[in-house]
This record gives sequence, structure tokens and C-alpha cells, in this order.
Amino acid sequence: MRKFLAIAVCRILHWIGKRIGRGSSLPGQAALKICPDILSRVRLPDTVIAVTGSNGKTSTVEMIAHVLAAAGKRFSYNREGSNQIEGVTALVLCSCTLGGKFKNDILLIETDERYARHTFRYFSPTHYVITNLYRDQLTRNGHPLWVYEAILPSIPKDAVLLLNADDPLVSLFGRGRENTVWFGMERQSFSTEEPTGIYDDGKYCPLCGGKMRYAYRHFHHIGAYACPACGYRREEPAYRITEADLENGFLTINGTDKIPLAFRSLYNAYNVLACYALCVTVGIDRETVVGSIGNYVLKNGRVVNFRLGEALGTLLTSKHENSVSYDQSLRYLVGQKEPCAVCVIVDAVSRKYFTSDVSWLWDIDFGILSAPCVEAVYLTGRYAYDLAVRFSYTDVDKQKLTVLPSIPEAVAAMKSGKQKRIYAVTCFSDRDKLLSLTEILPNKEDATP
Amino acid sequence: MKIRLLHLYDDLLNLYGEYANLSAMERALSEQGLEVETDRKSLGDEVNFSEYDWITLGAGTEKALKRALADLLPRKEGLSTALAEGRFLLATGNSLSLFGEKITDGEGRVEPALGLFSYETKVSGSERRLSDEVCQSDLLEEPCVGFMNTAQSLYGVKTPLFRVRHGLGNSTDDGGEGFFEGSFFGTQLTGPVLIKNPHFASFFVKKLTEKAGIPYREPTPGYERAAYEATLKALCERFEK
Repeated sequence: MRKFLAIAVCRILHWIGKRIGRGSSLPGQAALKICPDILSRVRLPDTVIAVTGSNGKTSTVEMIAHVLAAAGKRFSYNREGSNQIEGVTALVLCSCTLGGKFKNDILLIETDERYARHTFRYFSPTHYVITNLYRDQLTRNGHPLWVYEAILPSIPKDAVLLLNADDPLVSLFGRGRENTVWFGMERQSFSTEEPTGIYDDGKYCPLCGGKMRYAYRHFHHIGAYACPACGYRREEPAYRITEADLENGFLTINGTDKIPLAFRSLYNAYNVLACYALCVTVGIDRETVVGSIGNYVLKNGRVVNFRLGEALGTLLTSKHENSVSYDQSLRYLVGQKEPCAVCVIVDAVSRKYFTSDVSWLWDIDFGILSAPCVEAVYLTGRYAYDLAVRFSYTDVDKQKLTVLPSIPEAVAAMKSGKQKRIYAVTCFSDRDKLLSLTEILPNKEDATP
Repeated sequence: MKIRLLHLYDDLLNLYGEYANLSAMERALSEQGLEVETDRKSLGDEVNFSEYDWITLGAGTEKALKRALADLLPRKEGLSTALAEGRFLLATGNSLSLFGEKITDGEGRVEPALGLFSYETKVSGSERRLSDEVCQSDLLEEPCVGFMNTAQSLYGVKTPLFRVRHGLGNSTDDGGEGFFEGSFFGTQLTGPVLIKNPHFASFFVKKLTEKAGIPYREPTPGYERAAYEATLKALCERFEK
């Protein structure tokens, strides 16, 4: 009876929420209140896929959903922002009959890394993808090792674990474990032997604390590592990017499957790889995966093209409090080698909680913007002066900087600037403050003027 | 005169951008016309603390902190001598716990710390204390801003560096934050504390110019001051509304 009531209430609240155009955690919350263990009382499908990690969860889940649809699978999945237990509960119950039987073949869940253990107390994923662990939202998360410890109890013994072999901390989850599938990237022309970035979270072995050695790194602590002291090392991945040609925009997986990229960045390459590994593992044929994922343009709006006066702009959504995310965006835009202006906005650190902490700016390698193609840099938002201080410790020419806390003023200055190409780097919390002052262009692949 | 700075465990206790505290000191001391040299030393490196005028170390993971402690214990005497000689040491984040009597870890194991000061530390294995902070020190004319990100609480601190105006203190029932004695300064604030609080950096710079026997000159105003004011305003609006 409680089960029936919980499902019914959840679905009614969800329906009302949809009618009034508001998604919230309320339907799931209400269901959990009526029946706290509701998730263990419903009959779930044979395949339950979970994706967690610091970066790339939402994009990876979206791509997996796209492939599942192309393969003709019936599935339910949660969209961004509802990745804690309330959101997952609403997703599950809204896909169930009133009797508690899940109506589709597959349940696909993006799960918050810190709260996964609460969600998976009541049911277990059959396939569990962990993308990476970076310094991310440390004002809430503490540090990557703390997050590692939080994820650990959420991993069921008998699930197939799909892990990023190139991340030494993530790989620890699969140590001494049978049913683990590894994915990774082989050495590329852009790989380096020395660490890139301001700090090095790959310096010491996460297992024994010894000094690690890297044969190569793709960025930060992501690469081929080995610890001479204890023997902990990168596993040989079953799914590997053998070639990542970001200039011409394609990936080759396992030497045979060539996948064109709509968005030519390294983080997109990893998301595509994780999606490929998962989809092939759950039995979707490679042709369907390659065919549907190739040139796929993400709908989650992480990359938005806009027009500002005569200039063409691209917003590269980058997570505040996440230096890897920022570094990747900066590296991407500099890699385009077009003369451009760059706008960095830090106004609200988060849209979900308050903090005034900008320590994370010091972990971002803003020196990347000293590349000659970057002709002007606009620093704006409430923390524009913190950005200005940070930039004063880089090689970026002071003459190129415009520092204006008011976003409209900075946008106006940029509009009258001489650059016809603009890259904006900021987070979900601040991007609409820019986009609302521009003309948003339809989302296609990389913007070309 | 050359001023020598040391970033201790720069690759281990540098979790929230603490390296920038060195950057702030280097720039501010150079502006005073002083020659500055910075060393970075970590696990197993040979180090003579008495060669340095100003030493700092930052926050690390609970595991990293244990490794730093094991490395530092045999060097206690050298550290204690350097402090007795009046060499400045700034410990930020959870590294402050290294200098107390003992540390109880998240699993309840008690380990002796350096024992240079009488406070003790308790670490939680499951809860972190996370908060924006505004705090006031008698040594500084203006409040300091920052963020606390730690799993530990400090008990038995007799001379806290700050009084907490907003945020968390050394422990839940304590309005004090950090610790100071002689030339030792500790705060649980994380990250680039001296960048965020240019007046706190100036405090050390004044001490070092005094030591070098040169007159202190007010620094050329940069964006640091405006950044500090923006954060102080944001925090006061938040906490005092």
C-alpha cells in the first residue's frame, strides 16, 4: 500500500511540476517520505547503468542515451541537476507501473559522486562507469581522496565496473577486482612527459605514497603511470583511443573504429570513449555505437554559440571550482589559433550554494592565455578583481586586460572591441548573465565564422 | 640583504592553491627592494630551517598530512631552533595540527605530533568543517577573509590568532581560530590566505623589513585591495543580512 501511494504521489507531483514547467526534487522527496525504502521495493530492469565522477557525467550519460535510442532500446534516464537520491527516485517511480514494475529495458543514471552511496543503498547498478576524480567543488567536496572514500561504499561487488585507466585514483576502485572494464587513451602527439598544469595530483602513488613515474600524460594526472615502490600501475585498457586527431576532429578506438567529433576537445574525447566502452559492454554492436556517436552534438548546452555585434562568440561552459575543466577550455580555445578575445566571468561561484572562496583560481593555468592569438582578455563579475590579481601572476600581457566587475559594462566593451571572435569561459551559475546580452545561435558543431 | 623563503611540502600540502602565499611574499618583498630567494622542500629532502627567514606550509589530505608528520618528527629539533631564533613560520589549513601535542585520526588512533605547542587535534573520518570565514586578529587592523576546509578540530588553544566574526573556529565551542606564539602563526584557513588578505602579507613584510634593517614602504596599490574588499563585502552581506 505504501509502495502504491509513494509511486502515485510521486507521479502526480511530477505531472503537476511538468504542467507548471518546474522540475524539482519534491516528487522524489515526497515518495521517500511515504516509503523510505521505495527504491528497494520496485522491480528494476536487468540493466541498470550508473555514471559518476568529477567531470563529464552529464555529457557521457547524454551520449549513452543517444546510442541506446539509436539501438532501439527502451530506457529511462535522468537529466542534469537531479542526480541525488530524490531525483533518482522520481526518475525510477515515474518509469514504473503503479504496481512497481519498471516499464523499460534499461535504467540509466547520472549520480552525484558524493551521494552515490545513499542512492545505491536500496538497489545496485549492474554497470557502473567512473569517469575521473579531479579537484572539483572543493568547498563542498573537501578533496579528491575524500570523494574517493565516499564513492567506495557505493560500488556493489557484482557490478561491472568501467573505469578510466588513465586516472590513478579512479583506477584504485578496480584494484584486485575481477569484473572491471578499463578504458584509456594511448600516447598522442600532444601528450607530454612532464606534468601540465599548476599542481600535480599525480606525483605520489595513491596506494603507497611512493613517487610515481609517468611514461606520458595527456593532462594533469591523466596518463600512463607506474609506482616503482609498490608496483601499482595503469591497467591495459580494453577500450582505448589509439588516435585522437583533434585538429581534424576524429578519434580512433582500438585501431579500427573511427569516430568524427562534433566538438574537438580532449574532454569530449574521454566522454565519447566512456560512452563507447559502456555501450559495447552492454551488448550494443559497434557499428551502431560508432554510427550514432559520430558527430553527435550535445544538447546539454555546454557549448553555446552566440553573436555579439559583429563578433561571433562561443561559450565554453567551464565549472567554477574545477581547474581541470577551466584548463581544458583554455587549452581548447588557444588551440583554435584564431585571433580572439577571451572573457572570463566569475560572479556567483555556484548556483546551488553560497561561497566567496576563489582559491581555485590559483589552480587554473591562466598563463595558457599568453598565446599570441589571444589579443584581449575581459575579466568580469563580482570577483573580477580576484581574477585580475590571479592574472597579474601570469605572463598574460597587462595591456590586453580589461577588468570590469559589471558584466553589462564588460560585454559592451567587448562589443566595441576589434576582435571578431570571442570565447567566453564561465560556469552555469554565470553564463546566462552573458548570454542574455547576446544573440544565441542555433547549436551546431564548432562555430566557424 | 637577501630574504630566504621556504615552501615546505610544496608538492604534498598544497591542496587549495597555497603556493600563492609564496608568490604574494615574493612580490611584496621585492617591492621593498629586498632580494628574495624561495626554496621548495618535501619528503626526505635535506633542510636546515635556520637558513630561512620565512617558512610556510599549507593544507593536505589527511593521508598526506600523516606522511608530512612522519617526515617532520625527526626534524623537530631543527624546527624548534629556527623558531627560537625568531624565524617566521606560517602554517595554514590542517598543517597547523602538526605542531600541537597529538592528533587523533578519523579511526580514533592517537599519534604524537611535534609537541611544540600544547593544543591537540581531533580528525573526523566522516564530517568536514566547511565555511567561509571572517575573522579578526589583534595583530592586524582589519579583518581577514577566507575559507575553512578541514576534517579536524583543534582543542586547548590558549592563544588563538583570530577571533571568529563569521564562520567556524578551531572547534565548535570555540570562538578562536588559529594559534600564534612568538614567530609562529597558524590558521586553519585554506588556500592563498596572504593573497586574499594583502594586509596580512604586509604584516610579515613589515617584520622582515625590520629584520633587514630597511624602512618599510607602503606597497603600490594593485587589484589585491579591491579583491579583498569585494570578498569582505560579499561575506558581510551574506552573514549579516
